[in-house]
Amino acid sequence: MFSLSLYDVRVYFPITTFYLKRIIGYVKAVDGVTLNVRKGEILGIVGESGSGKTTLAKAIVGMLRPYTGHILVDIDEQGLQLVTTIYDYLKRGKKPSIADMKRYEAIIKKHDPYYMNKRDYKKFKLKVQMVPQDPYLSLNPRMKVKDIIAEPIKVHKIEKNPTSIRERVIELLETVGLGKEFLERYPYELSGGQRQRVSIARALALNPEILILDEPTSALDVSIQAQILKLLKNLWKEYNLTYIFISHDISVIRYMSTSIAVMYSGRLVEYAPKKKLFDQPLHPYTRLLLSAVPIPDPRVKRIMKFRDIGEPPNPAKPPIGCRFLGRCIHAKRGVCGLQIDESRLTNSSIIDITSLDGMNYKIRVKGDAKELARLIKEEAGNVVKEIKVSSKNLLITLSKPVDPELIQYNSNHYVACHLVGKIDVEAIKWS
Amino acid sequence: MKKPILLIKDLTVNYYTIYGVVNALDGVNLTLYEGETLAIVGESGCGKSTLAKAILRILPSNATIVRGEIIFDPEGSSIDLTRLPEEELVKIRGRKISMIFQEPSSALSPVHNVRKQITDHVMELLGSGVIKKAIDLLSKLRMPSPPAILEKYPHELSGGMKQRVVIAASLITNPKILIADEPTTALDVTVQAQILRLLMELKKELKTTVMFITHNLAIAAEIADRVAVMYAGHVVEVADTESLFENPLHPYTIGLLKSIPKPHIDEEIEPIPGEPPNLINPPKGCRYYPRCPYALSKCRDAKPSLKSVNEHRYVACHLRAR
Repeated sequence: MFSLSLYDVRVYFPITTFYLKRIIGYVKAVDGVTLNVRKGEILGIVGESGSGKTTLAKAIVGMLRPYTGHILVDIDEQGLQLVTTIYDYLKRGKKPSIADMKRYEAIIKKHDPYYMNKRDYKKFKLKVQMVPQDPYLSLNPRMKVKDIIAEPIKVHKIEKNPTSIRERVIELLETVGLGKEFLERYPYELSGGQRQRVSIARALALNPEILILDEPTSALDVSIQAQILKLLKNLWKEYNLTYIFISHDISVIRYMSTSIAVMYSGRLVEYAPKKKLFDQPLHPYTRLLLSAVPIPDPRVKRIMKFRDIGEPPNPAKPPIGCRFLGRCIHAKRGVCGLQIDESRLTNSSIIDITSLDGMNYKIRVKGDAKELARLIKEEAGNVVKEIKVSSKNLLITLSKPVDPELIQYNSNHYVACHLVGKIDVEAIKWS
Repeated sequence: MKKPILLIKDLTVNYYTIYGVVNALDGVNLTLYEGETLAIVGESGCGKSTLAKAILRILPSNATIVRGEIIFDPEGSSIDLTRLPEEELVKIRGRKISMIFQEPSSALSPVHNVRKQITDHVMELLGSGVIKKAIDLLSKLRMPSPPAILEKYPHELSGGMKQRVVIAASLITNPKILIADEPTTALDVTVQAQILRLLMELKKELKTTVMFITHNLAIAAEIADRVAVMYAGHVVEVADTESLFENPLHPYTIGLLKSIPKPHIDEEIEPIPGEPPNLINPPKGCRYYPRCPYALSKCRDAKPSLKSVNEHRYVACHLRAR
């Protein structure tokens, strides 16, 4: 039984022309995430800005409809198996039998919030709640604390009479370490830590099973952050909650999580239990990320040994294949994909690169498209089978798929890298 | 023997707001030695940025330096920056003492290219060699093709690149002191590591003294020679980095070290209860008194002063008074 299961979730934002709003491409904020969260787990999602962690969180709570893929709540392994098989089948353009299709539809209607009917969707909302990132932006400045916390209780009609609502609000305030005296206050009278406590109380008001915490402490000071982290951990133990904890701070992730997913440029690159991820990270990006963390121990001093100089790719023109290609010290020509070195172009430039189906790519070019075609031929090696040049576009057909898939390395350690097992991965030096 | 380059004595700064007078810095004493990296650590509102701005006299208009001295080069020209007229101050600001800010995109002008922003303010000082120097600095900061970067505008650069441009602009005059106010807080972890490394390498090469302001203790541990911990407008502890982390003396430093989650070990955290005081009406004695687990009765009324424990180690706490 999984509390939450994501299968091939992709969230794309359309890029449209100014007139007529014709869709000319997509920003792929989340590009194929597959994860399973068991009840009582704290899944930490870590990644740098632009890696798609917040977008993923929004997709999970029902705020952003995925372009494709399923978000499944409270699903058993059998059901998940069926959904994934038929989903893959449909994706390849094949037609499953009518009986299978009916079963598939029944399951997603019951478990996927984006296919549920209104009544089930309301139940889903009771189950999954989100604590937003910035408590200075997320609380309505014109509502008192008691109204902020009571709002979801009233909307979902959990309690009806005013005295029991009030009692419930006081009880919630006390659970998050605030008292009765806060009932009549407005958000501007509260400090950052107190605001975040109110946010948590509001999220807890509906007795949820899953809490999505989107950087709940990154707007707070060190000593206040510690208080909130401790509070969240205690609540987790006390109420048997399941957390999805999003942060860019590796130390916070290490403190909170039981398992960790690492995201890079919209993709899930590694997913493992905490101990495995910290002791033996496999993906070159995870290894880079962990070696960039400053350590509060002056005897270590590891920053001066940090050698990387790269940055995440431009989301409009990511490398073809592995997104980490341009920064990876292990990257192999002809295996990991194709990164076009734009600085070598003299009278043309790339506008964007779109994957049509994983094998065919469209590159929009400004200027001389033939120059780009020559460069790609030179750089690509045996990855590219065919290049078609038109005045503004290049159509590239690959000879083999180069997108690294998330593979199971061992029992519960997943990694998306072509070179896993082929490069030596000694343990990360933490001291 | 270390040579002091900046001497801050009894510096007190007030902000005049509609809510009342905020006592942001209260009798701060601090010495910066030539060639060192001093990290100033503290939470928001502790006065670390106010301190930096007071040194360069770029405080907002509602702030006043009430008392105190900031003496630049005390063993040489010995200039008191708090009393220096503005015409004299411009010869020091940006030339002898430079500063980098937290948000690189707001430190750069969006309508001027990188070349202008790095070189314009020093054209008359350095003359025609300035472009060569800018290119040299940018290549030391590992910028790809520096001459091309010079013609770009800030919006064409990523956050890390912008911060490197800001660093180049602040180091082009070979300043004696570089004040870095949370230069990596707005950046991602990997970019932060890049910037810190490049900054420290350049610092070594140019023999600059660095005052590094941060809320992140781990960064202080990585790069600083000495650390000054600030709390609510007071400097509560000054020590060399290793002894500070190994044997913190002030209860606030102890609390802070216990409350940060560690990236390298699994360890339970112990938060400091309560919140920092309101500086309009701060506690009369020790400002940490309301949160301190070891507080004595005299902590409530008597302000502890920064006293030396041993050579180069100072703490402001009644518990540690000899």
